[in-house]
Amino acid sequence: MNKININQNVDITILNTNKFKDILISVRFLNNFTKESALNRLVLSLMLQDRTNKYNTKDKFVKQLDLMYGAIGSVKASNNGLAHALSFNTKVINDKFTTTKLLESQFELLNEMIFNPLKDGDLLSKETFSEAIINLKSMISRRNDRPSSFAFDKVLNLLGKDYALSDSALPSFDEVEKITLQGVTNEYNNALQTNKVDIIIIGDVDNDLIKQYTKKHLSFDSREISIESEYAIKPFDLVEESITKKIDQSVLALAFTTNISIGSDDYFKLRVANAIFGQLPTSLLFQQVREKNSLCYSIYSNILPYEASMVVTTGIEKGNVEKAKELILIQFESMKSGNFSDEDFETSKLMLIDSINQSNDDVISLLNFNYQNIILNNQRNFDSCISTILATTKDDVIEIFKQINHVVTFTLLQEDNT
Amino acid sequence: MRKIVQSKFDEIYYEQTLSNLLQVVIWSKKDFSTTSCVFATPYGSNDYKQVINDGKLIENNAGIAHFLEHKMFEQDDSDVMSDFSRLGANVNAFTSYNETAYTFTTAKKDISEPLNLLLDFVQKLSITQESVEKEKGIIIQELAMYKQMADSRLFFETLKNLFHNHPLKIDIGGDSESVSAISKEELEQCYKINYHPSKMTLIITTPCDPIEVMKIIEKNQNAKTFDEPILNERFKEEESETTVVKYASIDMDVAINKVTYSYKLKPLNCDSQQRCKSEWAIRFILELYFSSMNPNYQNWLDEEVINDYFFTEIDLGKDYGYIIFGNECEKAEKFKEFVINEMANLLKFDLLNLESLNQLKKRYQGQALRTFNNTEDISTSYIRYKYNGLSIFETIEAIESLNIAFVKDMVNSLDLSNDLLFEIKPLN
Repeated sequence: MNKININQNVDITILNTNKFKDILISVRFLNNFTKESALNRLVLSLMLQDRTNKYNTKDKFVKQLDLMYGAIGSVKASNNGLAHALSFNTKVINDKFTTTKLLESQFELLNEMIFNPLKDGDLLSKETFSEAIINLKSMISRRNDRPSSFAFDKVLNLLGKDYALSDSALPSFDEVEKITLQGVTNEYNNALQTNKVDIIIIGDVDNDLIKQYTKKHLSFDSREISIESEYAIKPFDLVEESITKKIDQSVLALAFTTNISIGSDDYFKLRVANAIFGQLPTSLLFQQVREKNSLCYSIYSNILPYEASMVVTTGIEKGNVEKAKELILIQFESMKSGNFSDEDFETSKLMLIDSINQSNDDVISLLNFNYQNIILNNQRNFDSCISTILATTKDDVIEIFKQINHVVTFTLLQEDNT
Repeated sequence: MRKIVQSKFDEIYYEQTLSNLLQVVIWSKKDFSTTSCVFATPYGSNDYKQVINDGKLIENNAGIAHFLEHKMFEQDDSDVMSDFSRLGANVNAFTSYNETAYTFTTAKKDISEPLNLLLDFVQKLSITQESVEKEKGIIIQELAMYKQMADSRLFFETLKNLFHNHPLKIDIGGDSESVSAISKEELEQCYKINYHPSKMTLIITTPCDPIEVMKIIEKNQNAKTFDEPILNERFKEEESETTVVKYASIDMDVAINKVTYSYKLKPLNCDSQQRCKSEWAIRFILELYFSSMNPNYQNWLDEEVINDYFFTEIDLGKDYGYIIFGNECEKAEKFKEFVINEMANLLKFDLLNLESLNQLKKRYQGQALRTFNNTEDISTSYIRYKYNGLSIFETIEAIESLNIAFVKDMVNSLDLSNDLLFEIKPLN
């Protein structure tokens, strides 16, 4: 990995690899999270992804992508705890498989997307703003239509009340109505001028050429910014809530505080503990709730890395909700008392290590892992993660689970006779 | 082993048919750490009725292929998923309309244990009456999960109303009644007919030495004996050219109506290559007229005739064909009118020219190349393309061979008289 500092808080990270047929370039703007800014950036991500000043209609933009052998150009807004990233991502086939030179075109495309959006005077385009608002409302409706997403958002909202987490889900329709073009334009200008900028490149590239093209097409001045991302949601008294809907399957979601966030030295010990509890087919949850009691098709325990929390979700028949909840909590107690086998413990470590090794072959995993390091300002590599996993003991896992608290139970129940 | 070099794509793979007629493909990815393996049979949900050797019709409960996929993971007293986990490998499986596939991935340097485990568990069915009954609860919950996903429900319900008898009208997993009725004996019979090595394909995309990998497979297969294969073919249902109804709807807990307007097409009477080329010709013209390639697309969005959910889908199978347009809108009839009008505009071919054709060819060349970025994509795509009748490279050739005259001929030959309007309405 090559890291090149261009200006203060402006860096290039290059991962040279010849595994992939294309070259990924991601330009990321990192800012401290506020709800208003995150909403504006979400709208920005929808406005900036299919038109620019030069390619001012969708058909012109898509034509440019197609002429670059179906290049991928997208913009994404994502929450990382107390930090928020606005990412411009492009993937273009490597020159060695094409008859035309595409690397500089890829930089030119990014330049257009980032620096030359469609505008009406000093403001960003009204037309793209209106369309983005319509699309955002559709996104919200669709997410609410999916019972599993609806339940997941609800549990995060209950878990993260008083924290940034409760503001990180999709907004309500009322909140969308309050978003203004002026606010979104200000956010765009702010992102370009003040946010921490990282240009991440993965592929078979000539680093000197990358430096040259970056200087020419993706030039950013120095900026002062200090970013925080991880935080720990503190334990609180159990909150239980349920909502009834006319659906075919109930959804049960339990949230826990873990007290261990992603930058902690204990984070990979937590990963081992979570794998034993509910991440793998060998896990206590999968074996007891699905395999032994046939209550569900899938059950997972997911870590919220930046918020020091964990959520268990499953879909079940309404009549089995209480039984499933009881079984989940029995497994939770089993983890605290070390009531899991040595074999399950070793298997979980092995599977986690294999999954980390497989990440080396996946461009998105490589991108996310490296950007995570940038956000956390740490130097983790796959080997150091594997070393921590190997050094984790059964006692570590028990101690970690003793710190975990069950704080929320949310149930999305089927209406009777559905 | 036959070595195949695709120098244009910088890809190398090896093919061999073993003495038991198992087809083996080893795709070499020396720079990668991950091995991805797929072991598949061309037995999918559409095969629940089959005709065997002597013309005897075997009629099973719908969802049998998917149920069998679930039960394969049980071996005497062991649990296959846990066995793979203990080896540091991820195992999975999927059932589609046309195939059932068992997969594993691992970054281990020595793949002999997971590879032998895959071959062994797929080549032995070991189930009890009790375990079959127990699985029904899990599968019924899986079906309930999909049933409440509006997008997949929209697709399945559309097919249900397009086809009178064709097995596409039945969900891949069947329904709770058909699943409840499946018996141990039925599963064993299906296994015997459809999992013989002569019917199956094994593909391993791996950084490991292909010769060593082939040795592992040969050693495993040479130690086993198999019954004589039972010849079989999918029972061909009589299918009318018409749709079941012209309009249908269901109610769901959704915020806005989800609508499809579809054309049921006559099956093409041609070989796989011609069928593939025809499907791509129609896909191209649909992309050209019903995506952001069409300058009018922006007007449709602005006028809210369509929204960002809008999609088109074309599928020309061996014995069926359809085009589906999907959208979210309050007035389904208005969407139908829009599609009909635009299909009439499409027949003017004013957007079809050498430039737009080459634009689309470049798009799909790039997309095809990206398949080779990931070992799992390679293995899965290989199987999907193979069971569709053409390899991924033959499909790329078919796309590259498209010309304006062929696209026009194909589109002009479409009979659009059998249509269906379907919608999911929000609950009152």
